[in-house]
Amino acid sequence: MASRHRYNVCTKRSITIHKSPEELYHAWRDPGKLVNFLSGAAEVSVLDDRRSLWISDIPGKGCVSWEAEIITDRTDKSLSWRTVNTTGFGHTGSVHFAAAPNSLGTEVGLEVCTRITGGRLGKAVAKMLGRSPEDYVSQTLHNFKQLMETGEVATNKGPSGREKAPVEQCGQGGAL
Amino acid sequence: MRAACWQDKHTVEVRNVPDPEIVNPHDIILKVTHTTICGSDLHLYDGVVPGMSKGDIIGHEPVGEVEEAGSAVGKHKVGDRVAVSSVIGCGRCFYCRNQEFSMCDNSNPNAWMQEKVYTYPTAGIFGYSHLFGGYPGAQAEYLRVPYADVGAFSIPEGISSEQAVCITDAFPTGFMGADLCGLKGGETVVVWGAGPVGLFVMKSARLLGAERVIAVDNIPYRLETAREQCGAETLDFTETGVTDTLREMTAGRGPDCCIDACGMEAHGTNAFVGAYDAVKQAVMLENDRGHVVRQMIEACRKGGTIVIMGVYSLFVDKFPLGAAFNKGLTFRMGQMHGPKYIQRLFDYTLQGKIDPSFCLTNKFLLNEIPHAYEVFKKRTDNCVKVLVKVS
Ligand SMILES: NC(=O)c1ccc[n+]([C@@H]2O[C@H](COP(=O)([O-])OP(=O)(O)OC[C@H]3O[C@@H](n4cnc5c(N)ncnc54)[C@H](O)[C@@H]3O)[C@@H](O)[C@H]2O)c1
Ligand SMILES: [Zn+2]
Ligand SMILES: [Zn+2]
Repeated sequence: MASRHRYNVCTKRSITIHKSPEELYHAWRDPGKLVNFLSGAAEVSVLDDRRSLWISDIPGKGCVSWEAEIITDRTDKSLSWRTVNTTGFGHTGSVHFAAAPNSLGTEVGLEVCTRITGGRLGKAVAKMLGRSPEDYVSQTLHNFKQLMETGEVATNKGPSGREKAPVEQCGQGGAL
Repeated sequence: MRAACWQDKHTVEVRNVPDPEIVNPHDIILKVTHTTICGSDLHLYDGVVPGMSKGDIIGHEPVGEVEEAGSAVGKHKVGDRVAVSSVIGCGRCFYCRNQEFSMCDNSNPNAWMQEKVYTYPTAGIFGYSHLFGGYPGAQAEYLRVPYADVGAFSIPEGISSEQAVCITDAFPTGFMGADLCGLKGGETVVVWGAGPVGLFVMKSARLLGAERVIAVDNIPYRLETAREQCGAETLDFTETGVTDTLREMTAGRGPDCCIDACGMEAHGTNAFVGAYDAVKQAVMLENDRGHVVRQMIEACRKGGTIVIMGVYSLFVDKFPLGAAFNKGLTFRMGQMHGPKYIQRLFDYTLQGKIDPSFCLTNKFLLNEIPHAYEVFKKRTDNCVKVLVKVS
């Protein structure tokens, strides 16, 4: 079991989604759906009911893989997981679903704890590169909201006259 | 395909880039036939909008034919002639359901980036920086249009593509400027800026019942257009003190509504404050020049309404909050909610209440767009707005 000590930086964000807690819980519980909105996720294979194998493009880390194992599972309310056998981005995470006031749908809270080495400097560098753990958590929540409210994850994929930056191909699917 | 790519401050080049493809089920691919250049593109051109990269395709006023439709598109079929809103709304979120499309929660793929600046992400806009989504723009032969059932509107028989191109952005922006004034009829409305947006504010204010429309600018041919096309009285801000003149023109009452159709690059109206803002903008201490907003606050009557349709991106200094507070002013502003207005503006056009193409003074082909930017920017050839024929 990963100790708090090991995963020393926790990021928590929340978002309101115009869907019921049940729908949102079920989408998150299904790796085949989750792969569409987890920021950077490229591929997933289901190992058993609680475990799945992920290949993901993590900003600043490149292509990494991990096994996610569900630790707690409260139907329509919350999920938590930890990673094992990682090649990077080892983390623990949890997501909570609660009805929002005024018929606004569901309040979704996501917390991800990772290990950032190099203390304050490491965090500062991750921030400066523009894709910190906060960005990962935020973009995952926005992607989730987009998919659940509109049926698709917003993308700016398309042509440009920009010099092509070398992109690392992560798995077969298109990384979001 | 050929597309206008932003290279650097004051450099736009037409380059060969890959064609866009359908990515999401609500997308269409538009074969662009007509487009134009907006005052907002001039802000990109002048390098005052953050979040641009060399090579980005710009432009946000597309009219064309549906070339291909994604599997979930219901409203449009291949071959339809459509006009597309510059601002992209998902149609499903809290804001879109309230018709506040420019505040869409879902259409900005770079939400994580933009919320660092504005706390909450706002809608994506075609070809308008990575902060606003990093979407490829409309000054191109083809365009991928997301959520096409929300933002693309079939152009009715009887409306020309030239008219429609003005209904993608400039006219709805002007109309929203007048709409936000909450006119009941009989008001005096003052519009700063007699560019395309300002002229559409003036025409719209008339449509919505304003009795008196006053235009402020310093470009003689634009003031003449305001007089002749919009029945406006005009003020050249380099010739008179605007606040005092407006007070006298309204016998000490002050105008009911003041609308900014200039934006963050407004020219100085007072030598000292103008120079102060220009220097601060040049050294990036103050990103946006605020003298039009300050002047509106001074000039507006007590209890009046200030509407800002000109674009601001970051900070403005020396905001006269005391005057605004003690006069009890109301502030309304924002990027325009295109899909809320487009059908209504088609209807006004069909009814002959307005011909939106009145502002298209100069015509170019896509390959000539670098020159078109120069003409629009330098206000040569009496240019109000350019039409760019793409195919
Ligand atoms: N809110 C929106 O959704 C939206 C949409 C489109 C355009 N815009 C913005 O509207 C503004 C106008 O767009 P446009 O296409 O008409 O551009 P434009 O550049 O052609 O027009 C601006 C006009 O303002 C005048 N001006 C400059 N300083 C002035 C001052 N101090 N007092 C009075 N007039 C002054 C200029 O001479 C010019 O005629 C721009 O800021 C643009 O970004 C906003
Ligand atoms: Zn515009
Ligand atoms: Zn929306």
